[in-house]
Amino acid sequence: MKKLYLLLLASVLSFSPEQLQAQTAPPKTFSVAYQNAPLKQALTELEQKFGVKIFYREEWLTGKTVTLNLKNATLPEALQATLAGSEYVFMQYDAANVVVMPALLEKTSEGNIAAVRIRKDDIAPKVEIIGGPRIAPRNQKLTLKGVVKDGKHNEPAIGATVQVEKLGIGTVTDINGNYELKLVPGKHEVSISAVGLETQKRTIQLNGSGTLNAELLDIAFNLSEVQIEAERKNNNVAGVQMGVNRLSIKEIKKMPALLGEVDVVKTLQLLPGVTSVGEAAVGYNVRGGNADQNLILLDQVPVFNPMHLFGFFSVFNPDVVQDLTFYRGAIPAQFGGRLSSILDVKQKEGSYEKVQGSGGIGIVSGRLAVEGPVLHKKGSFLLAGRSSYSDWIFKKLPKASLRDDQASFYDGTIKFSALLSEQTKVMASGYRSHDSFGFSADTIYSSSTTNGSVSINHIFSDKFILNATAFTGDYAMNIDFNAPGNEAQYASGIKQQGFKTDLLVRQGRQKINVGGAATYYNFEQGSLVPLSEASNINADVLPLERALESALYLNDEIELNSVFSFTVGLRYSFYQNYGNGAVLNYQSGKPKNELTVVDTAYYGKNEVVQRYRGAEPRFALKYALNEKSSVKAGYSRTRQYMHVISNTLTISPVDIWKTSNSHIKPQIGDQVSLGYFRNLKQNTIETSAEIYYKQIKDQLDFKEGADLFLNHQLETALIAANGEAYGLELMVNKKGGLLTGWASYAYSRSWLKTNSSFAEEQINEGRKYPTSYDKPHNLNLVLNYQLTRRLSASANFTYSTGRPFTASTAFYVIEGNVVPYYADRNQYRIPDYHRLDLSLTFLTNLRKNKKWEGNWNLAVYNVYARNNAYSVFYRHKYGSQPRVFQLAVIGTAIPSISYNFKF
Amino acid sequence: MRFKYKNLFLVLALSWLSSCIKPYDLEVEEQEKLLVVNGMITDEPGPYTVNLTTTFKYGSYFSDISPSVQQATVTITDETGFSVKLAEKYPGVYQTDSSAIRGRVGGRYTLRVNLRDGKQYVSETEELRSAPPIGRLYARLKPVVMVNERNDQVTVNYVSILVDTKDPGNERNFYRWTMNNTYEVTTQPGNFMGVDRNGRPVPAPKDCCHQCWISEKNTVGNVLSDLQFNGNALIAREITNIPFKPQYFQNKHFVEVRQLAISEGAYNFWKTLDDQIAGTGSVQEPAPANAVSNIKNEANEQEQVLGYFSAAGASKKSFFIQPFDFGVYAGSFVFPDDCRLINGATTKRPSFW
Repeated sequence: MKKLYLLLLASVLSFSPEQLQAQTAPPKTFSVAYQNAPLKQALTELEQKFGVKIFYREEWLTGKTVTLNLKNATLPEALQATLAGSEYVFMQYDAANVVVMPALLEKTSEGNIAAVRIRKDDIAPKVEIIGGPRIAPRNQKLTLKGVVKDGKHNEPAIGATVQVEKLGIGTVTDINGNYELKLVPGKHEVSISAVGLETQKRTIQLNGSGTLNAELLDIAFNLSEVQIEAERKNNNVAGVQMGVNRLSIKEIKKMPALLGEVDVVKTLQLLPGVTSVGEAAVGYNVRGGNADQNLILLDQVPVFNPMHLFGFFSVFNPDVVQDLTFYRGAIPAQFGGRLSSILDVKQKEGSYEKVQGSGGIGIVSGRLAVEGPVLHKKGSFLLAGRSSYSDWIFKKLPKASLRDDQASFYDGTIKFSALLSEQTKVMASGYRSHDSFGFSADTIYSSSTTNGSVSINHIFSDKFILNATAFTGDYAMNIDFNAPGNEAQYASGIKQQGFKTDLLVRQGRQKINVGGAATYYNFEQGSLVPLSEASNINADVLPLERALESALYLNDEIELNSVFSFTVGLRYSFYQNYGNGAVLNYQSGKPKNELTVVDTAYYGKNEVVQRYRGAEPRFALKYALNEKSSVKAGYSRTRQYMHVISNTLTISPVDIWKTSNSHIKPQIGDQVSLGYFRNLKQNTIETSAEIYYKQIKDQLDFKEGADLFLNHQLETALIAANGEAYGLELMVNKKGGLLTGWASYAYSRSWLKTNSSFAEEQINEGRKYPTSYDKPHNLNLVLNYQLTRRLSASANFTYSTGRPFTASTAFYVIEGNVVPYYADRNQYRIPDYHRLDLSLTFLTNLRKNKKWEGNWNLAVYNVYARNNAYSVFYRHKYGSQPRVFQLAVIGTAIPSISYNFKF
Repeated sequence: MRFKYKNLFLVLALSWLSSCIKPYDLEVEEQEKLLVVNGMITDEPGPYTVNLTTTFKYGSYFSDISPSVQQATVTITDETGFSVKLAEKYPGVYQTDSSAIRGRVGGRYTLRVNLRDGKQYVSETEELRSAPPIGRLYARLKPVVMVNERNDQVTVNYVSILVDTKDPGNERNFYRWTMNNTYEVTTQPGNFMGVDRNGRPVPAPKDCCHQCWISEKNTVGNVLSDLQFNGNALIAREITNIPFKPQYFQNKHFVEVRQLAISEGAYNFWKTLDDQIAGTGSVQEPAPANAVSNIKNEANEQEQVLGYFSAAGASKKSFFIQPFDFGVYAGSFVFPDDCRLINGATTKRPSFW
């Protein structure tokens, strides 16, 4: 039970130990016998006999029976016996309340079962005995006095009403919050209320004169939930992992967002070690890694493009996301395939209890999610969708030339889950997102992601848990050219079909994950096809590339003792690139170009062209200095077999995913990291300091001016470079209290160096150069303050060094055209970036048992309207000097309002 | 077919979020001046010109002394070993004698430049290929809807100059188009207003001149490879857009388009140049790159040389746009002054007018 922590929020604190002792004594023991009786019935009887309230989720007990024979059992014994043989355990929350929960929840840190929630209202009222054990004579007037305080500010509540409604007796508190009331002995229900504070009803057994103090809480305190978290509260210090962040969607929703669109990916960029090349950039860079080195999993299925409209909003619907886990340090062996980070986004399961929903209306999009039980509460569904109405926005634009433009997106999620038995759960989910935009009616860009998965979760025992997932995914990019005479469609994409399985074994102090994964990829590298007979465009299709990526892994987390724990993991990955036609061979010892082609080899459809394989060891160690602080170290090697081919700073519509093949080697990353972790104030403040050093082998860069579009000899345009990155990350995270949030600072550098000896395959003559995302100083502040129960305010501040860019140091004139001349790559920096965002969230309805819960969110992005440079470029206007300009994507403060609701 | 994606994001950004472009002061290190060579030989009659200049520093465009490279020895040699020397006609502008050499289809030409300080540069050999004829050269009115400062929707008309051609299917072809246009302007020098001693405007009619011709050159790269339409017709290739305004279209307007068959190297050079010139600063744009020159210092291949020497076949077509060709009249040009004050204007009637 020690692993279980309760997040007791505000109101629950009113149950003090004195009150518990004062309770009327329930029977100490109980005898009963059941023969295949419903489990629920047994628990109900225990509730009655022992005078306690037992909390559980209905669907856990449905269809379950119990056979047992109890003789003079105490409450714990009775509960233990009743729940033995089920996968549930209990926890005595206090003398009057017991919580039943899945054993899994207690033990795993993955927490894949929704947390148990108990509303304060449900907790059984207790009778407080005042004035000693012996009751006074019936007609004696007794005095009940006490102090009423405002619980939040710990100040006297002046003018609060204290009354016994049944007797019509009442009084108000004085300037010090004191009151005094004359009452007859006996049982009374005292209600204490004050303006703006929540009314408290207390049941007392008045035996003699005595004291009843009360602390009243703000009405809007919507925190009256007891939440049992799957994660250890001191995980920051006690866990082995480092470089990990978990964020719940609740935290993310509080943050100010651009145009009110809650954005998972933008939130990620506020964590230390995560940067991006600028506003509205697709993807992000983690610890000096390229944007294609991040694995993004949405319910276990890789997502290739996390952004809508190429950079403005993320594709994750905030109503559906449950939480996200982000690994940027030593990645556990369960994950692989990308070098720099893993973003594991979990979507929630539908409710097993009742039909409910949520949604929102913002400036850019509207969304709706509905969930509820199916199969007699043994299953659940979730349907969610989000769609932009931005075409409408274009029509409102001041520039009429833009009114022909279009930009729209939608995404949708469908999810079913069913409990096949007590131990087996099956889930099926589907996801689709789509974007479409056009600069003119002539050229329309669209992209879509279509993913589906089926997974099964089986608990053999609390020692063996199996997870298996089969998935399919399709990421497609299209460009439609509609100009008369040139009708054509360009398409590229990547398809994947995969399977993965994981077995969790608990053995003493060890937690072992063993499993494997295999994914078959189809890389559509680009095709241009005429759309009509009359089109003058010739078909040009790059051959499909195919590959199989597979891996086996073993990860063992060992808690040696309270001081030492460590994780050893090994992932072994295999990669096979299959043939589909011609493969060019180049002269060895020469740079690859059109002139050095020696011959062409032909491979059949399933013939292996190239194989790669390799071990990926992972290691993590924790040494506890004391209960509150620890030192951790980690090492990980990762291999990446697929690459985004891009010569732009951020992912653009014509970029493609490319497989490793005979010419393109896999990328290999090695990272070592060391950290110091310390928690303060009962684990409510977490602090950490981490340093890391990382090497990357064979990251792809491209030759100057290379044309990557429909290039049949793409390898001749690419250059392999080795990378190096290092940094320091400091973070303070305050998790409890009225003020929550974090502050982080990171110093980080990242470099690349081409390793070819040929001048044409070198960048900056083979010297190391900073990457486009090398931003040494990064400071982030994320704050949320609960002003009143209804109102909370949030602020984000972010500062980072300007990214490097290739500056033009001179210009020249050719045939009257002024042309910038570029010196070495990435030798100059754009101005520093900083921005403040603010938001206010206002709850509209605070009544209990509300059917509809709404909130308004007002946000201002870029409050002080800074013109943050996005890029620096050169332009020459006739008759003036050629000049350097900077472009700011967002040059002003962007206010927004959105309304969100739950029902 | 050109990909406009690089503009798209800028536009998205502009339209949604009021993006902002402003000048930026960039401190750059002092850099040595690099040699810029630019020249072309075609199968049209000479003279052929080669320009030798150097790079400029930012902020020095008007103040710096002329960056022309003078007193160099410049020669063009063909595959037979025949060679002509170009004479320096103006500072940094070297020309062949018009009768000394004429480019031939199939000829292979090399440029040599020897500077006064002894540095020797040589171009790669360029083969002159024949240019397919321009099938049709025509103009079309292109309305573009905009909103003025008062937020009224207005339609601004442009005249698109378009070319149709037929691509030969047997080889890779690389096209470049250049354009010359000449138009006649009529102004009102008799309505000129001067100012008296007190600064008040007073009529001060001028006698001359009300009729001028203005010639302009459009020399942006404007290149295309036949990769996507090899052997097919190329329809409505846009050469340029001229605002449909009285200055340009009050009288007739002459357009001459030259279609050049360039080499792949020249195509890459101009394409990169185009991208650099059209830069909008979007991160979706290809990273900046220098257009790859085909000229190098023989003794020091590391030396960065800029510019390109091309050999290209050329075909030409020209036509007049009459003021009422589009059914609407652009209007009368109001300019109460001597027309020679307009940039590039001359009173000399062109021979073809």
